[in-house]
Amino acid sequence: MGNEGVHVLFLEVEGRSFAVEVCQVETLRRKETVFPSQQGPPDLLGFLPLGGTLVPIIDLGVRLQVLQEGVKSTGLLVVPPEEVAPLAFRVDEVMGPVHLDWRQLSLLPGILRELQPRPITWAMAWQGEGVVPLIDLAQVVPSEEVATLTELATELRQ
Amino acid sequence: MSEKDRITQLQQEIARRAMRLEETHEEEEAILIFLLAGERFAFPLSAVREISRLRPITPLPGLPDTVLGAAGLRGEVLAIIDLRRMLALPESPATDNSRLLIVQHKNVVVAMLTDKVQDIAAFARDALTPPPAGEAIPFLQGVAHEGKQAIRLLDLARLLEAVRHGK
Repeated sequence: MGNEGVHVLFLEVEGRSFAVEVCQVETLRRKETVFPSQQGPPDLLGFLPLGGTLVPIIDLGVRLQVLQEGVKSTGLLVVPPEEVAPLAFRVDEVMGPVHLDWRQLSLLPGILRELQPRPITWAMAWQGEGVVPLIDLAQVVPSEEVATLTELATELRQ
Repeated sequence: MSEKDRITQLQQEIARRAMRLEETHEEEEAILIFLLAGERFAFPLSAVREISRLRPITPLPGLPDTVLGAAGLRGEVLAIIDLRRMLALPESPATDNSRLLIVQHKNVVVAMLTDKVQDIAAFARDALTPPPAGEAIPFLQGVAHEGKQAIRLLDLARLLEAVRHGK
């Protein structure tokens, strides 16, 4: 990433776009082998075997309240580096990478920053007349919930 | 006349009338009147920075339902407030007449979604009456009357405070 802006991927969910910095995505996987789970939150799709561990898969549309009617079984899995979030996120489509210079980005207005329960959206990327939220995958799922999901994955593996 | 021309004409007319109103007596208050659910509401004209047609609104995760999301306006990203929900008025989809009122209080700038911008006017400050007992609509600074019609003047500071507290 240069110092003239950011490189982002656009994640499409139910016709809505979210941008994430490229450095927050380690791999993209087709949603193939998944260990289903009867436990966990409603947006937990199952677990992805990856590098000897099981990674909880969260449906990004349901988590971000884009999808109203349950999780979807198609799409792609976005896997962030473990230090960002030890999770995978299901999305419909991924586009990019696209380079955005700082003129194509605006920080979120203060009032919206204050209203977020966690700093999920940190900036807005300009796309024509509209704006697309630039989200932080590390903030999508609260850390205490990540810990619970990780424990669940460990139990399942055993 | 195109939509853009109509907006330009309306803004020019408002600017002209605002200039005239600035010359009005200090005991008068200039207000911008708009419609919500068929009722007339107003903000002090001094708090209104701009009127804009509807723009693409991007919902954001985790916000209260009184905040519709964010929209871009000439290089600035603004929070879009659903004034109907704030005032507990019946919901209704936006129409061609819907407008965003860009309002400012101190250093906070937001856009309020309204059904229609109607007029600007001036009235004597002492003609502003307190909200009647039992008034169901919150955030009122007072009520002015034009003939038999009431114009509810909203208290922008209290409205924004409520928005900031996630109402």
